[in-house]
Amino acid sequence: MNELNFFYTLASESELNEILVGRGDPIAFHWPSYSIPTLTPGSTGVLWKHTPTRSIKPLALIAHDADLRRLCVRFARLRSDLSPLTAWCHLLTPNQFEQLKSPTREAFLSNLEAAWTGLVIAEVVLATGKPLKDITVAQCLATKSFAIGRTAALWADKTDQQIIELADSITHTLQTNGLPAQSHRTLSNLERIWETLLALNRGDSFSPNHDLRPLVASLQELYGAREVRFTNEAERFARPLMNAVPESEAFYGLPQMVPEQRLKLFDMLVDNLEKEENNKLSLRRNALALLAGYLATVAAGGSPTLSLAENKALRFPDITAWAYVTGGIGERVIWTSSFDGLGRMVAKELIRSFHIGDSPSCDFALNEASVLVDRKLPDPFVHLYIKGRVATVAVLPGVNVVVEMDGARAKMTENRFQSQRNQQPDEPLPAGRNIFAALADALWPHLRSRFEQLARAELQNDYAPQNYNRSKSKKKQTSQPSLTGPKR
Amino acid sequence: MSLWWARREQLDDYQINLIENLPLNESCLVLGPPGSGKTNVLLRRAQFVSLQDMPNVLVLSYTRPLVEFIKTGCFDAQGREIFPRNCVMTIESWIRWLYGTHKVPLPIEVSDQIERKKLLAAGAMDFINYGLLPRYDSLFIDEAQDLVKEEVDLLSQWSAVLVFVGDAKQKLFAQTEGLDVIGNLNPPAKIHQLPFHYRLSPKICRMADRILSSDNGRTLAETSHYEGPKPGEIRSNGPLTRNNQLKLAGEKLIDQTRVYEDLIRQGDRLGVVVARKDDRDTVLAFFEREPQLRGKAKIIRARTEHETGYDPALDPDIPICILTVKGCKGLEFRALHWLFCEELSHYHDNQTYYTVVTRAKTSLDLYYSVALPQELARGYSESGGELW
Repeated sequence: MNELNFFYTLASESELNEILVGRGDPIAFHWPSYSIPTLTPGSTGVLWKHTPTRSIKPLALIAHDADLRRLCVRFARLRSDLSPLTAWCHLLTPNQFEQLKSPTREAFLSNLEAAWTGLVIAEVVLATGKPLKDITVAQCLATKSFAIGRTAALWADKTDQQIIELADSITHTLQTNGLPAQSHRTLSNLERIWETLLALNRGDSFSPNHDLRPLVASLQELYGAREVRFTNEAERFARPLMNAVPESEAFYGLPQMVPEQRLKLFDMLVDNLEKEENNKLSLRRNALALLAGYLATVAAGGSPTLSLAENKALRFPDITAWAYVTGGIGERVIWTSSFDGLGRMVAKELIRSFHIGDSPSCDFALNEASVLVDRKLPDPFVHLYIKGRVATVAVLPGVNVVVEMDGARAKMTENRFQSQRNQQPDEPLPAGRNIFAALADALWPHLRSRFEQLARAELQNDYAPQNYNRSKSKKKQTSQPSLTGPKR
Repeated sequence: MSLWWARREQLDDYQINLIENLPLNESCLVLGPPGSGKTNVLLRRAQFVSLQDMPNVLVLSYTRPLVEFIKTGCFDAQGREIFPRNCVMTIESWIRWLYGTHKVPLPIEVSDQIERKKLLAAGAMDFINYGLLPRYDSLFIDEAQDLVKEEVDLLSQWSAVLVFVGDAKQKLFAQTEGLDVIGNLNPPAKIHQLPFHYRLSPKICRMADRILSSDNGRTLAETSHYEGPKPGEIRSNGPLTRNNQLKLAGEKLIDQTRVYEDLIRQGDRLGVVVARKDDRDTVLAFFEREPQLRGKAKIIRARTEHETGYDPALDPDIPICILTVKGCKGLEFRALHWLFCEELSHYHDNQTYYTVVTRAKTSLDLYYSVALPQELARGYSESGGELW
C-alpha cells in the first residue's frame, strides 16, 4: 500500500464523531511522510485512509492513556454501535504511534522463532496433558508464552518486565489463565525460561538478573555451536553452567555416550533436581532443568526422546519446556512440519508483521476491556459483545491472544458469589464491628437483586425524554468517568 | 511410520528410478545390502504399478513376521492405507490359497522346511491350466535368495512380470537357489543394484563385513549412509548362566524401552532372538514376571493351522519382539539381543550370522553361556579393552 494513502488528523470531539462514522473533511497530514502536530492531553489523533468510495476509514485513534479510557467509555455508553472501538480500529498511545514510523512493523525474534514456538507448544502440552496430535493452533495462541514471544517480536522497545506484566494483565483483566488445569503450576515453572529467552532475544549476556546469565550464555553457546556445526555442541552448551552445576562436565563426553548411558545421566540430573526442589529460583535448580531438557533432545544417540521429559512433567514441567526450547535453538527453518505440522503455524503467528492499514483481527483490545469489563454484572463482558466461547484479545496492537471466555465468565461469577459468601453472618465478627452493619451485610445478598431492579427502573425513568435534564444533572454526581470530552 | 520411506523426497535416485522408471512389462531382480531399501522399493513399485491400471498385483514374502512388517508400510504418515494390505502375504499362504481355490488337497506335510516348500509348489504347478483365475498383472517377491526352483517356476506361470528383491548374503537355507534360478528365467529378469544403505550403524557394518566379505568389492562400512542414533554399540555378555542372560537382557531392555520411547512410537522395535522355538516361550515368560516389562513383549511367529487365539500382527504398543533366528529374516530392530547365541551353532553358517547381525540397527547384545561362536568372536572386539 502506498504510504501517501495514510492521513493523520488531530480531531476535535465533533470531528471525531464524524470521522468515526466515515464522514467529514478534516484537516489532514500525510503520514508518515510529514511531521504531525503534537498530541496534547485531552485531544485525539486519528490515522485514516480513504475507502474506494472516498469516504473516511479510521485506522487508529491516538491519545494518552487516560483519554483512550475515556473514549472507550464514551462510545460504550453513547455510541454502542461503534463499541468496542478496538474491534475495528487500533487504539495507540502517542509513544506507540511514534514507534511505528511506518505503516508496517516487522516482527523479529533474533532467529529464535523455533525456540519460542517450542516453548508455546510445550506450554500447551504441559497445561492440557494432551499429545501433540490433539493440540490446536487456537490453544497455542492462548498461551502466555505466545503473548510474551509475540510482544517481544513486535514491540521490542518494551522491557522484559513490561512484556511479562502485559501478558499477566490478561489474567488480571479477564480472570482467565487461557488454558485449563495445572496452568498455574506450569506457568510458575516457565518464568525463568521466559526471562532467559527474552534476554537471549536481545543478545543480552549481561542480564540484570545475575542468576540468568549462565543460562543465557549456555543457550548462546548452543546457538553458536549449531551455526558452525561444531562436532561437540554439548560441550559448548554445558561449559557456562559448570560453576553452578559441576555435573555439566559429563556433557563433554556426550558424543561418546551410547543412549543407555545418556539415560543414566538424565536420571542422575533428575535425582539432583529433586534435591533442589525447595529452591525454585536458584541457578543450580534451573541449570539442572536446562541440562535435563537438552539431554532429552539428544538422549537416543542424537535423536530426541521427549517422552523422558514428558514423563516427569507433573513434577518438573520445566524439563519439558527446556527440551522444546533447546530443540529449536539455532533452527532457522521454521516452515517444516515440526510438532506434527503445528510448528510452522505457530511460528507464522509469532513473526507475522503488523500493518496499521489492516483492520484489527481481534474482538477487542485488553486496554479497552480493562475499562469495559464490569464484574458486578451477571455477564461481565456484556459491553464487549462477545458471542462465541472464545475471543481474540489484543494485548498490544498486533499481539493477539485467544481467550476462553466461558471459563473467564464462570470464574468471575464464582468470584462474585465468593465475595458474597465471604460476608455471610456465620463469619466471626471483626473486633469492634457494629452489629447492625453485620446484619446489613448478611441481608445484602438477599436484597441486592431487588435494589438493582429498582435502580434500573429509576435509571430508565431518568432517561425518559420528560426527565432528561434531571438525569444529566444527576450524572455529574456519579463517580463514573465523564462521558464528554474536555472543552477546547 | 518412520521405518518406511513413503515420500519421494526420502528416497535416493537409484530407488526412485526402480520405482518409477522401469518398463511396466519387464521382470527384474533388485539386489542390495541390508538396509538399502529393497523391501521399501518393492512395496512402492507395487503401489506404482497398481496405479498404472494394473491393479491385479500381489506382494509375496517369505515369513509371517516379515509380512506383518511389510503391512505396516501400507500406510502413510497420517495412517491412510496407500496399498491394500490384504495384497501382502507369505508365498506359502498364497500357494495354500491356490490349493483351496482349486479344491485340491494339500500335499502330505513333511518336517523339512525346504522339502515342504518344494512339494507345495510342485503340486500347484498344474493349477494355471484349470482356467479358474486370471494371471496377475505383476507379482512382487521379497527375499528372493531363499526361493526354491519350484516356487520360481510357479510364480512365472502366474505372471509375466515378476519383480524380485534379494541379497545372496542374507540366505538362511543352504539348499535354496532362488537367485540362480531367477538368473535363468526366460525372458531374463534384468538385474539392478542398490548401492547404498541407510540402516546399519558403522559398528554393525564393520562386524558384518568381518563375517562375510563383499562380492562387489565395496564393504558395508564404505557404502553406509547411516544417520540414526550414535554411537552404535556391540556388547558381548558372558559367560553367563541362561537365567543371568535373561536377567541382563531384561535390564537392558527396560532402559532401551525408555530411551528409545519416541523412536518406538514412530515404529521402531526392539528384538530378542533365540535359536529354538521353545526358548521364545522361556523368554516371554521371564519378561512377564518382570513388572517393568510385563505386557511389552510378544512372540512373533507364523500362525499354525486352525489356530485362532494368536494374532501375528506387529502391535504398535508392544515394542519387544521375540523371534527365532529364522523368523527374524527381513526385519530390523533398533536394538537386538541374541540370547544363548552359541546354541544350535552347528546349524548356522556365515550367512545366518550375517543375517542376524544386520537385523540390529544401532546396538547388538550377544549373550553366551560358554563361549561366543567363532564367526561372531571374529567379527567383534571390545574397544579400549586392557591387554594386561
